[in-house]
Amino acid sequence: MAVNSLREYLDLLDTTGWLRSFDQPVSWDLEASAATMLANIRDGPVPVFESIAGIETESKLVGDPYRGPQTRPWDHFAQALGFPSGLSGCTYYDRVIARLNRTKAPRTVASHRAPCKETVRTGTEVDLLSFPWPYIHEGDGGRYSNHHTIVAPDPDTEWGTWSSHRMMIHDSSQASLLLLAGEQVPNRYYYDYEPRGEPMPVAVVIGAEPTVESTADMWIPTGRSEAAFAGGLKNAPVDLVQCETNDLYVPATAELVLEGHVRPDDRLDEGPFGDYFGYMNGPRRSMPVFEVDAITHRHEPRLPFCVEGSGVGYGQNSTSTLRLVAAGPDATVGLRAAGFDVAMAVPWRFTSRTVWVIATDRPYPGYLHELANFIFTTWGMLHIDFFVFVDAAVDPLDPRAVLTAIALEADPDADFHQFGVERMPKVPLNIYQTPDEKGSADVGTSKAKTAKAYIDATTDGDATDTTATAETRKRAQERLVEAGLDAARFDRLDEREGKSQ
Amino acid sequence: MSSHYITSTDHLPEEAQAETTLQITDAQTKRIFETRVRIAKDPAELTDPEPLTIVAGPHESVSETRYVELLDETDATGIDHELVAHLAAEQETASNILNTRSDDLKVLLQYLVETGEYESTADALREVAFDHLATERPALLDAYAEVRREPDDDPLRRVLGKQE
Repeated sequence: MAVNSLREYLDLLDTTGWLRSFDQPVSWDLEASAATMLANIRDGPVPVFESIAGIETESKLVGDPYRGPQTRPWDHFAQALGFPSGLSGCTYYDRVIARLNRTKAPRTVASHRAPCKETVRTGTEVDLLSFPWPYIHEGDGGRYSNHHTIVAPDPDTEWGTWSSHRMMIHDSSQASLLLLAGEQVPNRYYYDYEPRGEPMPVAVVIGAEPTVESTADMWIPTGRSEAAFAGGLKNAPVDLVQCETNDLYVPATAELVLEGHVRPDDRLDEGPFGDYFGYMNGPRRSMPVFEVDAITHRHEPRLPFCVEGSGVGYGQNSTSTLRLVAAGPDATVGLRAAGFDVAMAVPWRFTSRTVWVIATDRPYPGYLHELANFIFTTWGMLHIDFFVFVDAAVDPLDPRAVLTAIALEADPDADFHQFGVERMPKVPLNIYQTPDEKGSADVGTSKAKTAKAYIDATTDGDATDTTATAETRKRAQERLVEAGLDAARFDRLDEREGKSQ
Repeated sequence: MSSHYITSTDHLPEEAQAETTLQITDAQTKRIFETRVRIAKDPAELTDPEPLTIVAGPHESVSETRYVELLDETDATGIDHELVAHLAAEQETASNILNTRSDDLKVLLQYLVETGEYESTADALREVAFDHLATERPALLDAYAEVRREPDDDPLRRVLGKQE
């Protein structure tokens, strides 16, 4: 059975030794993020900072709660979904894909039954600075909330649209939101509300339950509700409750909800911010202003945050893990729905959104080009620069297998393909474009475009079967475990949905 | 309140001027706000100098230190709400007659009256001034409207409140 809240998820981590509570006061000013970054790099337990130095608050900070173990990043999220422990990555993907194909509509609950309404602050009681928002990197433009779900109106769905856009705190009631045009919520603001001179109602949901949090990393088709996909993933409806000051509905078990509106024709500074590539990223931008009208929260709210930049290389963090455990299966569902018979689409670990690996058959010549063309022209491809296509039998979650496929199967002359030069949009958060190429970056993509590419690392001819039978491999691995090797090193000891892996 | 502030070179006025409205970040609390300040390279030029780190460059990785003196704190719109409230309170017991001397303005306003656009020069001046403020200084009008809405600033309600 899946967990219903961030708290239940943290309790689950605690029972398996993956949670570490700090009772001694820790500062929101770089200290909490530094400790979290060390945990991310060293594969340590998820830190919970129970006492915040220099501020009287009942709130607690949680550093990168969804980070998974470096060797098996899906393990924690699999537990949150109620799956048995020890699943291989491929089996985990199969099970998540099955759930995403069975969406479940949310259900509404009354305010008095919603934990996120245990405390309600409106009017003069609204004070953003009474919460310990972390100052995450030296050189950031301000304190940030960057691990949340934003709920905005959507005329095509009953429950609004959900996404994630980082938020820089300015004062007691104002923050700037990084709204880059091209994505659904920013488009709603830039092309709908602002031209009409209307404020756009918004709720920033902090510490939502795991399946809600994961939908922000998925590509949910326009007109479909993220709430229904979160329910499918959870295998139970997500409870929603109406906001106090607008008509939006928010996840009822969330730790904290900021209700407010994005003002038309108004901008505040946003950034610089130490971004997901691991570098300080400027310039500071003029971004839309979120004004808070009400704050509701649970007692002793847990405020999760992500140390962006620590999810590259061997380190994992919440966003790099959620990409792997949620965006990957979701993309696989999307490609199959479009008629492509892919086995798995997986963000390649260590590359921080830049590279994806797609395991697929190649039924006819030109198929991979069609597939790449479909992806680059359909998805939100601002973050992704290239794909690696491997055979369906290659495990895209296994970096060694992918590198082997590139080394053995990718012909430098024929298998490296580029989609034109400087034609594709690029999110202005990358580090290889100069400030001039990025342009003013007030909204949308970089001024200068970039190229997209893919590597065909699939076998060209009939594959030579050099592997032992699945049964033999499984037996060999069992012998190695009996001999004392760590079972966690092998991810093929389970059965993958009816067929031996 | 901190004793150290940060701003971006983008926010500095193009021409060197001692006093300006500036967006600054409190280095201790990271609160970001606008305020009237005096800036100087030499702290001796200021009465109550605090260090001001000015960050520059595409990733704000370059910085220099100047000195700043905070004059009064305004909100993001640059409006000093306390001053608006103070002036509104003062006006409750003051004359509401405005005096100005200008032959040119008198001729122009009189023209608007003679052509039937307004009934009097006072009427014309009120309308033109309010229209101008609504267009050019909407934040100031909003701040004043907010002050006017506050019950405490209504003498009638205050008196009634004391009687209860």
